[in-house]
This record gives sequence, structure tokens and C-alpha cells, in this order.
Amino acid sequence: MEFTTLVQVIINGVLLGGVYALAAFGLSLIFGVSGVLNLAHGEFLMVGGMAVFLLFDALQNVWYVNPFILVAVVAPLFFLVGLVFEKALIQPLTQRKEHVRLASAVLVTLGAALVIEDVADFASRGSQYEKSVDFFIPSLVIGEIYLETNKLVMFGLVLILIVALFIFLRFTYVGLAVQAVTQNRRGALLVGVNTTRINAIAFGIGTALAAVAGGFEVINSMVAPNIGLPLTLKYLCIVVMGGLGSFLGVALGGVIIGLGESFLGFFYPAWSQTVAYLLLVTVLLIRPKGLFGK
Amino acid sequence: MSTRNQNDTHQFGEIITRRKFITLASAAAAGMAVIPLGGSAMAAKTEIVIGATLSQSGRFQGIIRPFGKLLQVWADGINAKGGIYLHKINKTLPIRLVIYDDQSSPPTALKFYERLAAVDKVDFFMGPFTSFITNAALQAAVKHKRPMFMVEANDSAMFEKPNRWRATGLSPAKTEYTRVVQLLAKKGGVKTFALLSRDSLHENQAMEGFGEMVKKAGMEVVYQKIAPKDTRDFSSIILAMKQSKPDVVFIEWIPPPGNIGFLKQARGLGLNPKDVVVGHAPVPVIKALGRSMENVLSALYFFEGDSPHHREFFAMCKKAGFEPWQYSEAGIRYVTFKRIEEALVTAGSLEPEEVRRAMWQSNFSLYNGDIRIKTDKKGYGTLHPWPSQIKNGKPVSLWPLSKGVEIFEHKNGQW
Amino acid sequence: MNKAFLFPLVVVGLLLAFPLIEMDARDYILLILFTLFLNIVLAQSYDIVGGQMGYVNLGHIVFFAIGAYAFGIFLNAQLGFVLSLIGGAGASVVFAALISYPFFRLRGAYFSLAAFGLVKLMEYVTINMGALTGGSNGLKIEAGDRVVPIFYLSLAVVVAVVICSWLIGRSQLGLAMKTIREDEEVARDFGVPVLKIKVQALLISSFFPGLMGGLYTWQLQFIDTDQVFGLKIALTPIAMAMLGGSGLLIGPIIGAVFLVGVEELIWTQLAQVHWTVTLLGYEVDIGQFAHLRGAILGLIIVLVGLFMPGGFARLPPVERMLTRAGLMTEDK
Repeated sequence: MEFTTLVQVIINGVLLGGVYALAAFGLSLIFGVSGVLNLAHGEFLMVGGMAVFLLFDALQNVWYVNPFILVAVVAPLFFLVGLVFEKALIQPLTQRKEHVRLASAVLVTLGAALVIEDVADFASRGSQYEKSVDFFIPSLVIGEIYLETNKLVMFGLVLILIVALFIFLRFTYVGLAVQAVTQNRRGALLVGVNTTRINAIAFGIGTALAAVAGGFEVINSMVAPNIGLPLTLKYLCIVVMGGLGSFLGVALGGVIIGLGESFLGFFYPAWSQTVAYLLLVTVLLIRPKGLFGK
Repeated sequence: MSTRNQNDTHQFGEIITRRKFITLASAAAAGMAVIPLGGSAMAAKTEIVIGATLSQSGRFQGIIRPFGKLLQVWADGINAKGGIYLHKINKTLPIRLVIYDDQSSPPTALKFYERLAAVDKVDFFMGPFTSFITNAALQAAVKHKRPMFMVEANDSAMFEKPNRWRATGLSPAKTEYTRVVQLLAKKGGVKTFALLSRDSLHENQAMEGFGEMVKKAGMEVVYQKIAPKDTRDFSSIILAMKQSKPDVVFIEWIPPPGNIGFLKQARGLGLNPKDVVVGHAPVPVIKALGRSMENVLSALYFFEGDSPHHREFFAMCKKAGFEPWQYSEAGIRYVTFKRIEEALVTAGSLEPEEVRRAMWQSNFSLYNGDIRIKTDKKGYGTLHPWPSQIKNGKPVSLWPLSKGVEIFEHKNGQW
Repeated sequence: MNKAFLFPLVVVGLLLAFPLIEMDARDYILLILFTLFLNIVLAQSYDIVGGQMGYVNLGHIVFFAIGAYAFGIFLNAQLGFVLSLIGGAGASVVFAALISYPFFRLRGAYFSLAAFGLVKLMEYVTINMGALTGGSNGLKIEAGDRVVPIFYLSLAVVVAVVICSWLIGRSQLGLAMKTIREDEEVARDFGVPVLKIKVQALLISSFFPGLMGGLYTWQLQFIDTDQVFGLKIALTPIAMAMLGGSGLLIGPIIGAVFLVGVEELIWTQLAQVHWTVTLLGYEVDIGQFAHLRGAILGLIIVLVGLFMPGGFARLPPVERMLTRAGLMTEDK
């Protein structure tokens, strides 16, 4: 393998991993705070992508908008969607016994995933099933190495979001409360943290992040009503591998899987999609609580 | 444990069980009432009943969806003329379609084909989409001895064993891109090929066939790989392709999600071959890539022309609410319609055995003699797609070959 | 004999007699019943680990898939039907044994997710082991009409899984599983051999889907990974168990009967209806709404998760009815 090829494969992997980490962050945040595995996470990603597509498509002939701006418009809306979703569907579960909560969360979020997928599917009748935005900025070329501008912008945004999230978690009251709840729910409640509100906020942020990732998908590749569940599964791998609730773990997990897919894609593409699941199982067997889990 | 309610059970057991039994029996009866148990006795035929399933939901719906309407347009067209004349019973009978949604799933298709045969008493079947679903459906055809005009199943797995109840209009999957390779060979200027397919029965065979034909035409395959079906990131595959320095890149991926990601990333990563062939380039792909699709080669199941068949086909698509190139598989449906019409006229009756024989003997030409639809010994047909090239956001037919070579322009790495 | 046996015996008796009825729709109904039996077996066997022991095994379908593939491979190797079927089930038990120890080091959500990841992992392994499994070309077996024998065989598997699940519920093993569900630490402290119990439960729960997988391949005759590893096949039986009432013998059966019944009696019928009504100036085809069945199914699942975590069977009126019929074989 030549050096430039190696560099290119690594760059591809890291850029890919960054977008993985973004969606997985949301999932991790939600699990950390409310103890709920959100099987509908990928659906929010899909709907977020569809929203960007629909806005772009509707505006296209009137007013050409950079789809990245549309992503920024859509994200706050999905924060609200997340709030409502949490209030209506997740809040009632948080008081249940652990194994009951796990089971009912599976039911509720899986059911919600089915509803969202099927409604999106139904709404796509009469228009195209696969949705993708036609937007391209020429790549940066350094020697033989290509840096896809779209992906660089995304990666930059991911970094900014991660730093913002870090600052939010470290230096704001709500952020500290989120961490407190993640670490010890009852303890946080005892010292006067409004856990109900924190849950809702965490869910809102998580959903907004999923929608942003969906926007990136629709620019870079495509979304269709049936992509939700498989993507959720891949993000769950990242989250669990890193350790549920660990943000560093998620970032690392995303990049590891991105790199793994990138390297295998170069040599043995047939195995590239196996990386996430193989790593998940292997990591858990060695460290039952993930890389950074406590 | 049951001991807890033992007393209750002893006291009320008998009554309750009986009452529950009655409830159950009436529920079952209600259920039976909903499922029509038997068709009316078929003393004298008054119509030609054709059964099929279409994937109106599930993963194939994006390709198949408008064909329910197309089928209806065809049946309406025939019925407007009174129907099809069957000389052996000396009657002109109208067509009635019975169509179910197989949800893109083989077990569901199996269930519905059984129902079509036993309950709806169809005279023959039109096959579903893909080999896996067709194979499940075929069970019902063999069991009930009804011929199946297979529509979209041409993978070798379906034709290993002889089976007299099925035949398709399509040529084997491996020959799918014969005309595209012919065109590239004739135009010249390209030598090396990189091929990629989505890991599935049909796409792999189509790609393999493409590779074999390329080699036979004296050109070279420098990269040939299969990508997992869920692949969304192609950057490494593209990088490996780039290093093999191909003149032509070919991707075979149905339904379109993979094509879109692949093309977008190929553009971003500087894969600039002389020509790009996208096996299937329906609307979502063209729209997602915009100007970059200019001069991309693809294949359509019809070609531009002005024969009576062309006019009929275009009019049917228009009535069904789409332009032919938007759902080019409509061309396969059209050939199936023509095969059915011809078989019925030849058979002159609805006797399954006679319709079956006529289906196997089908031999007629379409589009002013441009192609001859025939069934070979295994049950394959002769239809395979014609080359096209995207120009101004719409595929332009590159057929007949001599004219096609003139219109055809290399993409020359211009995204 | 206990009166509680009367009702199941009557149902099984009626089912046994059903194929003898001469009618056009017989095989169609048998195929629907096969779908029902398939789901009952998957849901019931899932519930041995998921309901009775409280380990939500999102990867239960892997046992079914392994059974389906192993059966096909054995059959094509001319092992004969019976041996292949047993071999298929054996393969899934062996696989369960292999994963049991490492997977049971995981708890709660980690266990569920690792098992969920296993579904995709095994799917890709199956695809990439083309020499053995046919990969994406699928696995094909000899064709034939098997609707009636498959009906009887799958009914037998249903009866077997229900009896097995019932026996477990009454046994010491079942009791130990329940203590693990309620509090694993306490169970261990009181001397319950936790790991051994968990492994036993998983092995038992893997046997029946293995058998059913074989029958599925025998029925369909041409399978690929989409059909046996699909996420919806993987999750629907689990939803059925929870919908009916996880941890109760009758629960998974109620869930499966309900969901399959709704599919066949409402959606299939509705899809055939072509009433066009004019609504607000638009022509709306009522039959179109049959395509929203996934959404309605999802909605039902959500509502159950929210308002009746115990499932249908634990709703007071239903529970009273079941108790009186002697079908409530478990504590609430």
C-alpha cells in the first residue's frame, strides 16, 4: 500500500467516523440520561434528511439555498420534536423496574420506529422513494489526496458541535445536571435536579443531532424510508462499544468503526459492513461494559 | 401456577369453557366469512382472470409501484375492444385482473399465489418481481397447474431445473448488458473496466456477465468486486478502483440507494473515467446528481422509435401517469402483455395446458421487427435492455447501434 | 384431568381436523396458519429467556436463521429430511452453547444490544460464507408441495414449545429463572447457580426456533439472508410476546394470534377494497390505507408499551377471563 493511499484511506475513515459519531452522540446522550435505548433514533435521522430534502426541493426553483443552511434550520425543529416525543412516550417509562423498563422501552421506541417509517413510506407514494439533494462543492486536492469538501464541512460542524456539547456539559447548570443524572439518577434527584426536565432536554438534543446527521446523509448520499432501523443498529454498536453514556467512548467508537470500514472497504469490500457488529461483539466480550463504560 | 385458581375452574370450568368455545366458534365463522371460500363454479367462462402480486410496499416498491396502474391500463385497453377472441370456444372474453401486495416478501407471495389459484381461480399468473419471490410463487403455479408468465426473474437459479409451467420474456441475467458492451466496443477508445455490484443474486450475475462480455470483446477487466447490500460509504472502493485506472466504471445496484452514494463520492474523490455506466438510473439517481449525470451511460427496457408498438407502449405509460424512462421496467411489462395476448390468441382457449404450450411457443416480433420474442429450451426469453445516455437530465436512447454510436459521447471525466 | 387442558385440547383437535375439510381455500388458510405457528414458536421460545428470565434477547432470530440454513445445507447433503431437521435444530443449540458463556457476562441493555448486533453479524457471515450457504445467491432445496405436512409438523412444534414452556414454569429451573429476573445479585447470594441456569434457559429457547427454521426452508425452498435475518422478522415475535404478556404462558400466543389475525382479517381484506370517496375535493381510495398497516401495528405496540407493560393478558378483564378458563398458569 502506497503512502498516499494509506493517508487517503485514513482520511476517508476519520471523516466517515465523524459523521457516525455525531448521530451516535445523540443516542448515547439519551441512553445516559433516561436509561432508554431509543430504537427510533435512525428514524429521526431519516425524517431529518427528508425534511432537508423537501425544503430544498420546494425552494429549488424559487431560491437556491445551501442545504447546510437548511440543516441548521431543521435542527431546532427536531429539538422540539424530541421534547414532545420524550414527554409523550419516554417519560412514563422512567419509573419502571429495570428489566420492565428495558422491555417497555424496546416496545415503545420500536413501535414508534415502525410508525415513523410507515408514515414516511406512505407519504412518499406518488413521489420518489429515495431522496437525495443535488449539492456539490469541488473537492480540495492536495497532491494525490482528495478531501471532499462536503465531508470536511460536516466534519468541522461535528467538531464544533462536540466542543459545544462539551462546554455545555461542563460549564452550564443544565449540562452539569445532565451529567449528574447520567451518573446517578437518584442522587441527582436528591440534590434537587429536576430530572424530568433534564431527560426532556437530553432527548431534544439527541434528536436534533440525529436530524443533523440525516441532513448530512441526504447531501452526501441519500435517505429512504427504510434506512432507519439498520442505521439505528449501527449507531447502537458505536454507543455500546464505547460504553453506554460515555461521550469519549462514542467519539472513539465512531472513528474506529469508520476506519475499520475504510480499510476493509479497500481490501475486502465484502466484509466492510461487518466491522461494526464484529467489533461490538468482540469489545463486549472482552470488556462487558464497553471501552469506557463504568 | 394453576392451583391458585383451581376452585374457580372447577366451579365455572364447564360453563365457561363451553361459552368460550361458542365465542371462538363464532369468531372463526366470522373469520371464514371474510375469506371468500370458493369462487363461483366455473361452468362457462365469461372472463379471463389473470392473477399477480406486485410489491406495493417493502423494499421494491420504489421500482414497482406504478405498474399496478399500468396493468389496469392494459386490461382496460383490451376490454374496450371487447376483450380477446378465443377461437376454440368462439368467444371474445374480457380480462379481469386480481392483484395483491406481496410486501416484497416471498412467504407473503407464496400465500397470495395460493389464494389466486385456489380461491380467485385465475386462469394464469403474471409473475412477481425478483427471483426469490418468483420461486415462492412458482410453487402455486406447479401445484395448481396454471402457467406463469414470469415478468422479472431471469437469474440462472430459477432455470437450473426444467419446469414446464414457467417461462420468462427476459434473456438470462448474464446477458443483460449485451447491447451496452456492444456499443462501447463499437465506439472504441476504451480498454479497461472496473465493475461493482450490490451483493445480491441478480446484480452479481448481471455484473459477471458484463465482465465476461467485456473480455470476449477483447477489452480488459481491471477491478471487479461485490459490495455488501447496506453499503453507504464507497470511498475506499472508489480509491481502489482509481488505482486500477479504468477507462469505464460500471455499477449495478437495484434499487437505487447505492448508485447515488457511489456516484456522489466518485465525483468527490476524483474518479474520472472516460465513461460511467450505471445499470439502473431512474429518476432519484438523475435528480440526486443533477448536471453530473450528463453523458452517463445506462440501460432502458425500450428504445425510441415510431413503430405501432412504440406508440402503443408510450401511450400506455402516459395513461398510467409516468414517462417510460422514469420506470423503464415498464418495457418488460409491455413485452409480457404482448406475450400473453399472443399466447391467448394462439391457444384459442383458457385450458391451462394449451395456454402453457402457447406460452412456450411464443414467437413474434416487436418494434417493427427490431426484436423477436421467443422462448428457448430452458424458458428464457430474448428481451434485454437497450443502451441510453443521459443528456440534459433525461436518458436518450442509443439505438439502433449505428445511430447510437454517432450520438454517444464519452463522458471524459466531466462530472 | 384438569379442566384447564380442555380448551387447548379442543383447539388442537380442531386444528388437526382442519386439513381434512374439502374446500378451495384450504391451503391458503393452512399457509396463514403456518405464519401464525411460526410466530407463536418464535414468540414463545423467545419468552423463555426474555419473559421468564428477564433477559431481553433481541437476537433470538439468529437461532431461527441458523436452523433454516443448517437444515437446507444438510438436506442438500442428502442427509434426509428427519436428520436434517434435527441437525438444523442441533446447530442452533450448539450455536447457543457457544455464545452463551460470553454473552451472559453481559447484563441488561448490554446483553440486549450485543445480541441485536449478533443478528447483523451472523447475516454478513452467512452472506460471506458463500461456499457453504450460497451467499447472496441463496440456498435452494428440492421443490415440492408440502403445505399439509408442514402444517402438521409446525403444529407439533407449537404444542412442544408450549408444553416445554409450561413445564419450565412449573419446575425448579423456572423458579430459579424468575429469581434471576427479579434480582440476579440476590439470587446468586442465595446460592442459585446463576450462570448454569442462564445457559440452560438459552439452550432450551434456541431449540424450537431451530426446528421452525428448518420447516421454513422446507416450505419456501429458496431462502436468502433477507428472509431469515431481516430486522422485522427479528423484532416482530418479540413484540408479539410483549404485546400478549411476556412471562405468561398464554401471553406470546395471544400476541401472535392478535397480530397475525389483524394482518389477515383486516389488512389483507382492506387492500382488496377499492372504494373511492371524495374527501375535500380529493379522490381517496380507502384500500390505500391498507398500506399504513405497519404504522397501525407500530401504534398498537407503542400503546401496549406505554399503558400496559404487562401486555393484553394482564389487563384485568382479560385476566379474569383467562383465569376462569384456567389458562392463567402464572402469577401476575
